[in-house]
Amino acid sequence: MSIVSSLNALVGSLPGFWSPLVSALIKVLLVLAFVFGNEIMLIWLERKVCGRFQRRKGPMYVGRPEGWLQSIPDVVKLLAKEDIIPARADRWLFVLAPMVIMVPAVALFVVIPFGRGWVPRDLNIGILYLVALGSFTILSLFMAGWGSGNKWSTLGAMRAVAMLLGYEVPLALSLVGVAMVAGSLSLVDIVHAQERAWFVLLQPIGFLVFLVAAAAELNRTPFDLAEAEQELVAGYQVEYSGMRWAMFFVAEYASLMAISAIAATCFFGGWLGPFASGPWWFLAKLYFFIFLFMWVRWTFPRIRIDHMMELGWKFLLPVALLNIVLTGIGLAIWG
Amino acid sequence: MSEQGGANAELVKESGVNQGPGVPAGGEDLADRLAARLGVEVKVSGPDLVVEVPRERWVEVARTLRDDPAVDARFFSFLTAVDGKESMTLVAYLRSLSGKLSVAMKTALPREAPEVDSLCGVWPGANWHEREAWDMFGIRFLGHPDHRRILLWEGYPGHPLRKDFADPRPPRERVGPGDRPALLAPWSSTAAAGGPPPAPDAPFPADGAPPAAGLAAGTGTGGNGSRPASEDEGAVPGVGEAEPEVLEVNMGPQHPSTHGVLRVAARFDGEVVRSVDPVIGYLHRCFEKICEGWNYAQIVPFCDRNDYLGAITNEWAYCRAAEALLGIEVPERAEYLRVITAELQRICSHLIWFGTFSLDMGATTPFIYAFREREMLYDLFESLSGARLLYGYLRLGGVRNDVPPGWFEEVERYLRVQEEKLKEYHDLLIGNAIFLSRTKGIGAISAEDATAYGISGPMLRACGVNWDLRRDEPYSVYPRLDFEIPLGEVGDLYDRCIVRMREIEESIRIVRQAMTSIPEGDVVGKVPRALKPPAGAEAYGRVEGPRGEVGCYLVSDGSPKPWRIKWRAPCFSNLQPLDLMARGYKVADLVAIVGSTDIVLGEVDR
Amino acid sequence: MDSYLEVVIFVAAGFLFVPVTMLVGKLLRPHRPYAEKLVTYECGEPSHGSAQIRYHARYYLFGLLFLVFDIETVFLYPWAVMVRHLGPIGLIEMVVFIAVLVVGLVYAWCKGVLEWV
Repeated sequence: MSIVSSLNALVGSLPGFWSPLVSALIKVLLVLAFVFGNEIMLIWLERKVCGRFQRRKGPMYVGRPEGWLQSIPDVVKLLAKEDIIPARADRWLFVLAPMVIMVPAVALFVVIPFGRGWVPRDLNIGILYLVALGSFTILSLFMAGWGSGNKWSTLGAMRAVAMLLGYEVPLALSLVGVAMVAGSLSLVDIVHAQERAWFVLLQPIGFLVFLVAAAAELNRTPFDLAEAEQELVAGYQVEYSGMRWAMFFVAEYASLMAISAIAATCFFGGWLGPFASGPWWFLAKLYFFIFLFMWVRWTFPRIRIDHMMELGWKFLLPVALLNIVLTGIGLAIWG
Repeated sequence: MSEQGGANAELVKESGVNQGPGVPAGGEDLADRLAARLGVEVKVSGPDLVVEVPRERWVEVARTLRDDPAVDARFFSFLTAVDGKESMTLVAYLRSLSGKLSVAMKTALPREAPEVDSLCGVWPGANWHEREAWDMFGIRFLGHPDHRRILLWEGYPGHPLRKDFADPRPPRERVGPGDRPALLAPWSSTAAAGGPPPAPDAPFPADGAPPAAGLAAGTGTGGNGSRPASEDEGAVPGVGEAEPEVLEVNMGPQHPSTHGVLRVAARFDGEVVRSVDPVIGYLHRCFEKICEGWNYAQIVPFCDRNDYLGAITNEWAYCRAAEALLGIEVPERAEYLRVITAELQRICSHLIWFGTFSLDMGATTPFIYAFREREMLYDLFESLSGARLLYGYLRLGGVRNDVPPGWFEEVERYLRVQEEKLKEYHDLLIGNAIFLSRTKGIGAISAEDATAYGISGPMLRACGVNWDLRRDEPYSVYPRLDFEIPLGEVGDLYDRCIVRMREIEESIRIVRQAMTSIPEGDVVGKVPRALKPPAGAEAYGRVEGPRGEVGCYLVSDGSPKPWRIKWRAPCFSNLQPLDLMARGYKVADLVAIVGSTDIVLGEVDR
Repeated sequence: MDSYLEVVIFVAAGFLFVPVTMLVGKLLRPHRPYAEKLVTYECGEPSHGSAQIRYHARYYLFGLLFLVFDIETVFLYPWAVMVRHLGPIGLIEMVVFIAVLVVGLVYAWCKGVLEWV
């Protein structure tokens, strides 16, 4: 807290227009450092977790013990790889797609409260902002898939859009219940509203719907339909190589963190803990959800696209609507 | 093909009991009756009937053999040719699953420009076999719906299995189109000796073109009910004029899920598969031609390379054919060792199938689990034979060596682990709701189609056809062992999965029994110094491999080298009706269906 | 608009992250394109025809339904925030609103729109 307040004091002393700009730039740098610092660890963690699930060891050598620095040489390797843009590709779409996918990956963190007062900007439309920005990922996937001029990636692009149609509505509806109970869309307010009870207890149905829909938004197994290595080779990213390819990877893990952060904030009380509330609680919950998503990924087979649509429209959507009605009735009785 | 229903329906639920050895009961009797009925010569050769047919009556006799209730030869095993010195002999092996009887149908063709009517109308499974005969021998099949080369590329000069074949090109050019930068400079041949004019080597099946389907295409008896309706007829809205909606995609040869270098030329309509055409031959090395240059003993280890996941059963099929030709006896202990290793091989192969199939489903972890147990099995094979994949363990007249001390105990230890782990596989994958929704009712093929295509092994049994060579044409010491034949019901992906998983359990039982009852004694019988079978002798040895009927058809000319060797690869037949199985399903299902056929391209392409 | 400054900065940071990284990579990576390297991947076979075709999107009707329900969701958010203050009438109004949409969903379901054709 003292760091934040002294920073605020420092920035506040700057003249007029510059003060908010510099403050925003500092925030962006801090968040980028947090996201990419964690991401290096996450990629390593994913490989270790996967390895342990599969009775392997995963990376062991770069950075002893347990190879925790493995991602750094990987990044260097990716930087040194040739950048290939296929002759058939639509150049503009091909180049823009990785840039577009990084936007939600970074900008989702604007409204995430890391701790009391530790939020880049507490928007009063927080949840709506998250839901709206989250679907940008699909736009990027479609640009990449269609722009590659490859048949497999076209199939991947089309699947990405179909996925969006399947999970987006349940995802948004599952958070409506949270907004109803909290009486606000701001994530800071939502955390404060959980001081008595975490929303996972008040919104168990909403939480489950959110979890499934969020897993779909993450494009990870069992919902990795747009990528579907065994079917579409690598789907929308077939033609990407080197650092441009890595951007999809980076964005995927940033989204994984963002979604886990949303789950922790909206349903598990954010930075609140049973004792000694603070950012460490947020971090612990964040990693709990990250591990959960990894666990699911390395356990399940891939769902089929039409089953995915059925799941979204015939199960998740009615359940999410029911949840809203039940929440409304509950609020009317006990509210 | 509605008239095909009856006999197979009986066969389907028939309970299996060990019957006598392979020679058909009253074979002579039946041969005489057949000869009288057909007016052609019928002989009994070993366990099989041989029907000699004049060329003009080829199709007519075939149809009679299929439809005559006394023969009921609905299973099409393989078709090939033998280039004799004066004439060419066309051989088709058929089988009656109800009568447990194999029939070899033969006809003589002239060596110059041989022609004969196509059998595709009788058994759709003849399609690929006839294409192969055209490819290798230059036999034209009149009325064949898809008369292309199959293993070699269009424009290849000549037909390599003809005895007068000589490659006209200088050695440097004896490479396929894949070996050069074909993308920019397509290989073209001007020296097509007797072949058709070179054609572009990437034909996609035209939309209305005759599908690989024969039986089901017309009447719709194929496909087991649950097939989605929106295929074939262009019933899809918007596909009227120029049909730009259909995406023509090459799946393979470099694709993660084609299990090797298989190319599936597919037409997708959105996510729905409209037609697929498996293109094979990328791994073709003309095994059969190479074998003609080797003596009988040398060929054994080379057989491993066909189905490299079922090495023992390959060797066994060859050994059975060669031992029949040469009259070699196999000692009892060796027979037991063959059974034990073959069953372990079956487990091993099914484990790989389980792993790769789960990968095709998008689940990566069960793959590693299956390979963990397979590793133990490979250690066992290594300590037995010295090799981990291609063992070269069988010899003519027995096996290479006896087991090392303590080997049986190690096997028993492995079997216990495996039984334990089978439960784990079920918990992890087979009981999973996503897995069930993706396998039940998908990719089914009917029992009639399966037999007419010559599908064998677990894929055939998944359709409910109760047929297993180990029990129905008993060989080796299998009649003394007690085991069950797992059956499916509708022949979809789920049934194939369950049949294979239960076969692992049965194989464990067989290995246990064989290990307790194995007698002491030699492991190699008396083998003559000079291996020279009588001239003109022939034999078709077959065993039940992990993928189905592995067979070796040998013809001798009296020299130490085989005159002709034909490899009957189960995957070749199992892969052929891919279009029939996959049409109308989703792209994701296509991958799963290819996976469920458990193909090994080394065997398909030979 | 002040409160959205961070949003703008974050979006810009995300957008510019890629070009900056690519620029750094340019110092390290080789650049040797030739015709074969730039060929579209199609499992090792030359690609026939275009990938950018009139694709048969079998989920077109899902798309229409999606529009309806996505807009419904947007309507639900402001209501959700105020639901405590609106009292039972507000709740009943929204239940009616949802019910109308559910009737639409059920109709579509019965019509087989929710089947992937």
